[in-house]
Amino acid sequence: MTGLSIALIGCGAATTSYYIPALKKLPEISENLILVDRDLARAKIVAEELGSSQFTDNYAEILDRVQGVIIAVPHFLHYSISMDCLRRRVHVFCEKPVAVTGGELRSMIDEAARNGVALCVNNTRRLFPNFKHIKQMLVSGELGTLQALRMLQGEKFGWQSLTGFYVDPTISSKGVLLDLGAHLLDLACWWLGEKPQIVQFQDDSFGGPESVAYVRAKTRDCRLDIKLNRLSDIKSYYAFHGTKGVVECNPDDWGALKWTPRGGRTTEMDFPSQERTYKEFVGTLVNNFLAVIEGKEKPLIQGTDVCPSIELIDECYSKRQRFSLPWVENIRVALHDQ
Amino acid sequence: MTSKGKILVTGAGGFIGGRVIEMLHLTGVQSLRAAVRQWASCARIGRFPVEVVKMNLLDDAEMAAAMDGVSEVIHCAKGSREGIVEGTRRLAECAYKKGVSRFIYLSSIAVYGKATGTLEEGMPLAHTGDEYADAKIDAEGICQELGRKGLPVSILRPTIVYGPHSGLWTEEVIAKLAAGQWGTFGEVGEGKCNLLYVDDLVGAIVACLYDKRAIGQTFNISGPEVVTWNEYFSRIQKDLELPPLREHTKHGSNVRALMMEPVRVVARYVRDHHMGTVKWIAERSRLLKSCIKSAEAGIKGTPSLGEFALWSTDAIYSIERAKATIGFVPCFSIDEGLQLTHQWYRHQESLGNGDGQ
Repeated sequence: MTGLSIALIGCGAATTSYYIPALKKLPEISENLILVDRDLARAKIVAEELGSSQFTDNYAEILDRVQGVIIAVPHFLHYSISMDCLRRRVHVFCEKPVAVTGGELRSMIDEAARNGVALCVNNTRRLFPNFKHIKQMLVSGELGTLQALRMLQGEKFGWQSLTGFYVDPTISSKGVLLDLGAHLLDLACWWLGEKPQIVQFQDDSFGGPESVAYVRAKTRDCRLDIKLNRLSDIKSYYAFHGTKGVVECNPDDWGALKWTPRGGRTTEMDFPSQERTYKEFVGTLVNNFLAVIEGKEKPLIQGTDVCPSIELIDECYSKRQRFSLPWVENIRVALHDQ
Repeated sequence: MTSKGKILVTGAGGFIGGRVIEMLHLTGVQSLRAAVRQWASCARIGRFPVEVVKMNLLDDAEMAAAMDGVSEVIHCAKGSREGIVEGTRRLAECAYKKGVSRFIYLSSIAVYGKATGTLEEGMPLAHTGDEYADAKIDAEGICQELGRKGLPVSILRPTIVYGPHSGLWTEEVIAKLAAGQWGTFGEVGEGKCNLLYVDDLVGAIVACLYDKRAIGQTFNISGPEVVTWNEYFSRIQKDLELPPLREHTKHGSNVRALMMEPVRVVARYVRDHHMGTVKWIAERSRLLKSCIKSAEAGIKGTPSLGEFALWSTDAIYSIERAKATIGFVPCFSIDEGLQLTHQWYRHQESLGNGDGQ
């Protein structure tokens, strides 16, 4: 990988959490690594941390010097920056959600194909070993026909973003569904092998980005219930009800699941992996991206893989309705002007 | 309601500040500015199309930007002692210089320390060594001092504020009761629990914002009923249909609390000095991660001596002054407040839309 020139665009929270640790393990590319951030001082700090002397606040000026870029900027910028890179025949590895709408993503996929470069995506959770095992159980028929998929996941939002793009109502009205939902809906589509049909989408938006969202969807055989919550620490779980048994897992524990065959006893299964932390899974995807550029590997996850889920998110927002929230909406106290 | 400029709400990412923003927005107040210490705390108020600014009370540049064009301040932010005392000083001084028409400071009944009986606002306050309570006393002093110079200040001392999104008095209590860790505690839990539903507190805040009679005043703000802590726990258990509560004896409770004290001290030391190492190891060992979680649950699940002291305190906070001066009348009975709280809790926890569908 010594000869590769790579740029990391965006030096905020995702870079601090995932890409600095991943790139520190690849000292051979530091010489040809360019750090980009609109805050030049921030780019310089990250460059120094990674042993690079190259940094800039303008990605456009370095695209003819790199073969690939890692894009870790606020998600509403993914499309425009990715398109600029793809048009210049630069391979792209983009944070999730890779795009805000299905239309954007389809344009990105077309542009990548037209220019013969890769569009890779950091939908990390597809690499979790227990999730991969569930996929195998579904494909092999061990679980039978999946009849119900129930996913409940939530914790208090704590992402130490340097900007407020995730939660600022002046930037977007799309919240947890586009954030955590980009993982969950992608996993659901991947497990099902198809894009389900939306039956209902409810959230708690009053005009700003929602923080609790509920998706009810269906395929021919399966009913899906997915609830996302970034206001409370709740007991998260995924449950798969197949005709041959039930699989349950804690989405935060990628090393285990419970399998109960119909009429049988529950077995707890462990899945050791070489990745011990979440950021190490991201490292695996970064390594894959570099190998893709060199033509040594195929992308583990690419734009076309996540297209159904990005389209599904689009469809959800087009059907959005607000929950009944009496504890918010019913104002019984007289707020009077004297 | 009309304001000449913006109403700035500090601590808008928190439980009370968040509800102030929600209620003012939903009742048509347009000129709102929500100040949060970090963007990460903005997920709740971000749902509303209001102006949000990042403001650390100890950052002069951020404060100057947040206070630009502000005519009223509702100061709900809390934090470390420095944040409470120095942050309040800077904010109040800035408000004074800008000539705001009202500065509401949210203090606490913690300023009364261990006093018992019926407590009124005029009683003298004394430092007790409790960091939070002492900081609140000092912050009140700063507000009063600036009030004497002309800052139109009102100070509120809310009691046990509960309701949706209350971490301390709702979420944590429900979690511990649901896990079977807490129950009733005999004599130890027979002290007075002065509950206040959060919407009633917001009502009092807004009354102070617009009623000139509130200027220069300090008010206790409490709900319409007072129950014991044992009763509060029992009502939550009943309303949420949790498993029956265990009845802990006074002696047994005290023994467990005493035994856990050294563990708390060690845990606090590790948290303050070696948290990075612990996290690093926990990320790499599922066994250790599980042990840490168990220890954490054990510590959190065992009531502390401080909690016992609170639960056995026989004190009622008089709201007569607020009633007489600003016409404060709390609307929410405990049953009504808990009913809304439980609707919210079910909505948060359950898979589905919370409508029972």
